[in-house]
Amino acid sequence: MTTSREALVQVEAVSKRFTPDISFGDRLASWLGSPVETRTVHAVDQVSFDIRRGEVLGLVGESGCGKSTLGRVVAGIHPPSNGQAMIDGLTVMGEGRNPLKTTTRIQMVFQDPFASLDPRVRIGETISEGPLAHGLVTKAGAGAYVSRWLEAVGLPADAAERFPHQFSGGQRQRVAIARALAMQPDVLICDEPVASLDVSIQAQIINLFLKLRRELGVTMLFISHDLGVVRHICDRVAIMYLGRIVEMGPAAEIFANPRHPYTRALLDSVPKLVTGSDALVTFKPIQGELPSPLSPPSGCHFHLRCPFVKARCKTDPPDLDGHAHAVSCHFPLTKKAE
Amino acid sequence: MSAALLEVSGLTTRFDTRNGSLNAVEDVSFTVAEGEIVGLVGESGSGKSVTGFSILGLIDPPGRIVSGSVKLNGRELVGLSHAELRSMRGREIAMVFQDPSATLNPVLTIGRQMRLAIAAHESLSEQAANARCIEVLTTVGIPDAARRIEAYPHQYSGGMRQRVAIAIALLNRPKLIICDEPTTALDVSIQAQILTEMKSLAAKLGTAMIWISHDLATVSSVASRILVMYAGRLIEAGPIAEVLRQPRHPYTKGLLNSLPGIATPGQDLVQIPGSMPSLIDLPEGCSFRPRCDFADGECGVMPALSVDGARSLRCHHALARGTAP
Amino acid sequence: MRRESTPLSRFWDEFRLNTVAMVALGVVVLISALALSAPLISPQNPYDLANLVLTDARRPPGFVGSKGFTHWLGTDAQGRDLLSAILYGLRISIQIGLIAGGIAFSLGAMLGAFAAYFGGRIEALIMRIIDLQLSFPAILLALVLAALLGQGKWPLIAALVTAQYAYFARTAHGAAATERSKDYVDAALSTPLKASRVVFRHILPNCLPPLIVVATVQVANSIALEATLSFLGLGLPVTEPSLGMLIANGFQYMLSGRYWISIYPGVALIVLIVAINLVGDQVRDQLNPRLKR
Repeated sequence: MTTSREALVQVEAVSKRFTPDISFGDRLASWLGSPVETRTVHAVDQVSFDIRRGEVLGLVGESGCGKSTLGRVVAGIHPPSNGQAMIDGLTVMGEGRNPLKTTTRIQMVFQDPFASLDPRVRIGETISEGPLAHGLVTKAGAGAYVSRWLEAVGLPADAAERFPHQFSGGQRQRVAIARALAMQPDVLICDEPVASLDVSIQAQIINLFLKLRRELGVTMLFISHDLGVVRHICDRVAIMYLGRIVEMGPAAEIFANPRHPYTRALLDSVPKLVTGSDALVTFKPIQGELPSPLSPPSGCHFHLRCPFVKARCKTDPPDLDGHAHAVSCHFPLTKKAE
Repeated sequence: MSAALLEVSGLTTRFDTRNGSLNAVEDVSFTVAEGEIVGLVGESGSGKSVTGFSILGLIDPPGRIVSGSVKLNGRELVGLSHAELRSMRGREIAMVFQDPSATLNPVLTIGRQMRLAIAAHESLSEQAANARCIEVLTTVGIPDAARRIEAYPHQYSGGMRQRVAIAIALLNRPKLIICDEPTTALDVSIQAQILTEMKSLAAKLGTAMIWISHDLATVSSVASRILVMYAGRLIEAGPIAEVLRQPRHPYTKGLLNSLPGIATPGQDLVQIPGSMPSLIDLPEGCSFRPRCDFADGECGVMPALSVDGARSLRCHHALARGTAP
Repeated sequence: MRRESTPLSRFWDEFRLNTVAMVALGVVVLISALALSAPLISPQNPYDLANLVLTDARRPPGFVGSKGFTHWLGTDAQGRDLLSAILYGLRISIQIGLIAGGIAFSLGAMLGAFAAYFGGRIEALIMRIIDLQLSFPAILLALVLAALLGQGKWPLIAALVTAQYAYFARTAHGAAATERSKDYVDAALSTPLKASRVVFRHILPNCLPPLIVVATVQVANSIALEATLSFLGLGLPVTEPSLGMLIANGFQYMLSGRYWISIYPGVALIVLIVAINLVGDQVRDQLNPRLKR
């Protein structure tokens, strides 16, 4: 995709590889000429996309596809191995060997609110420490500032005095959202923010996101494996498979007319609520399992499981082509076939 | 409906904690017919898993079954000794858990564990046992089972491990398998594979199942009957399509409305306010009262489970028929 | 929302249930209180040479000295009242144990936590030095250092810290590496917060449970180590005897029947160390997540 004027976030050819530290013993062995196996994981491979101001982009994929890693690179938690993530033309990470995040305009909400809040810090301090550190609020004004954000996410002001363990999962997730919002970000990266919540609580948090979006106009990268949730709150959707985006386009369009065989298979795998009749539900499951990201297959990463695989797919990796609705496939599906 | 295979009546399981005692399961009654797949649905803390554990006699102190009965083929299971329960488990009722790594021993090969599971109930020759293992592994969709049988659990992927756990549950051809969130930890594509296989297995072998899950959509794609639990009690039950099309309990309806798949994208979901009360500190009367739109003075008394044909309901203000979500 | 219960109050509620640990804690508190108030309650100031009467030396327990008071535990070779000497000696031992333990704790915890936080070469460097040091016996290291630095309180403390900080560093490193991978640290990085704030406000407080366990063991260890060094003559000067030196001084009289000069300080030392260890055992049992039901 080309960068448009209204793009707020630009992700340019970002790759992220994880190579475990080579131990001293292994280094010694390699000096002495013995071959040492380095197990590099290609978590994210040359991914590019834009998020326009005020837009919610969904990032969908199965576990191990690299969507969380990509989210953390855009949020400035991990530096990218190659490429860069930018907000308004400024890079998220600084320069150097151990680059640091240079902006507060991108904040993140995590999947597990039991892990993402420090158990020993009171809610009030959790929310105010970032704004205090970056001068968004004075010490004197911190109390009122915290109350304001607690109210915005639907929690009482006296929650500030409590510890995380005194809250339920849904309430903790509200705290985590308040912490991110208190930094007054332009962009929110949400990594599976409703996946660990019960259905009735999940609906409450989804409604909270919808409300924040209406009232604050927050731009979001919404990472999820739950296609129902993504369809409900995202404007555009990017589908990831084994570190690459295989399809990207308007949500309604992707769900109605998937063009990549993987997207199609994913949509077919989702159990749907059966209310019509007692007829047996049939899935068309994708064959096989996700290949290891340690040694991804050559060519198109999906070719081992693709029902439409041809010779070219095994050697030649396809590019992400197309403007509004882009697909990375040599032989994209045309219309939803029977 | 054929004769009941499992008959649970008035089951109450209590846990004594430092902060007081609570009934994780209270007055739960239902039946499972032979070959039937029953979905048991609820949010965390609803008592759905404890119900499963109670049926198997797997409740450890500080928990205990304080009243009620569980009958399998007419035989009472509550009050059996540990030894009797052990000989019953695996052979008559088996269980599949959410996390297969918790069931599989990491230091034994899959084949060894399976042969031990057979040896616990039956004496078969080494070859016969091995042949049965390979056959069952093939049934649950493990390719090349004859070769992979001597591998260790960590050499299998998450989805494959869950298949092995299911295979072990099937080994002694039990009449009933209790599946506790068996696909929750898996990706949708793997989940779809396993759902498909479980359904065809149940049909082929005539095994009954209790499918415990928080996910209505998953349950609706395997089960023929649904039981909905809230705060330890059964609040609604009936044929699945009917219940999902015309829920009569406000909670069931609220749960369906909470699903993002049904509403128009971008619209607010119709949410249930608040959260499930603590089991130690339940409100007087109906547990759902504080979150219910229809609550009134009458709800200060716990409604009884009323049976109406195939459906049963625990509510004073049953939603009228024809109020589809 | 549940009722207000701080982690500390829950910890104490559980601790109270173990009678042995409660008795041990009582002993530790009692000994510490006695040692702390030694100048107020002991009959004699054993460090004031003008107070010592040589004719009263090596008298058995119960002897009424020339100053008119009873030596309940007898006197030592210099004519010191042993009860007073033990109380003053405990004071020094506990003081040195706590100061050395405290410095070793802070230094070790910081090194370990920063190593885990930054990772890479910094981590490799710090942890290899610590591994190297842990491969020597602590007593050997302390002996060499005490010999090099000479006599006195601070050289002794320096020797004890050097011998012990590595245990804290290793524990802190392990705990911090676990905490480092948790989402709340990633949340702090995405804010972003300064490294010092992340380490001191978030990572270190969460590493405290295992460090407290090591601390209780190490305070007892440093008291024992100090006694050992003093016994070997590498500790404090003879004029300010700690427990180890009292034991050493009395050692030569053991065979001549004057057992009390060595035995009573020894008993005091053993009771203190055993009591601290019993408290430490209970703390460890409570803080170890693997033993939790």
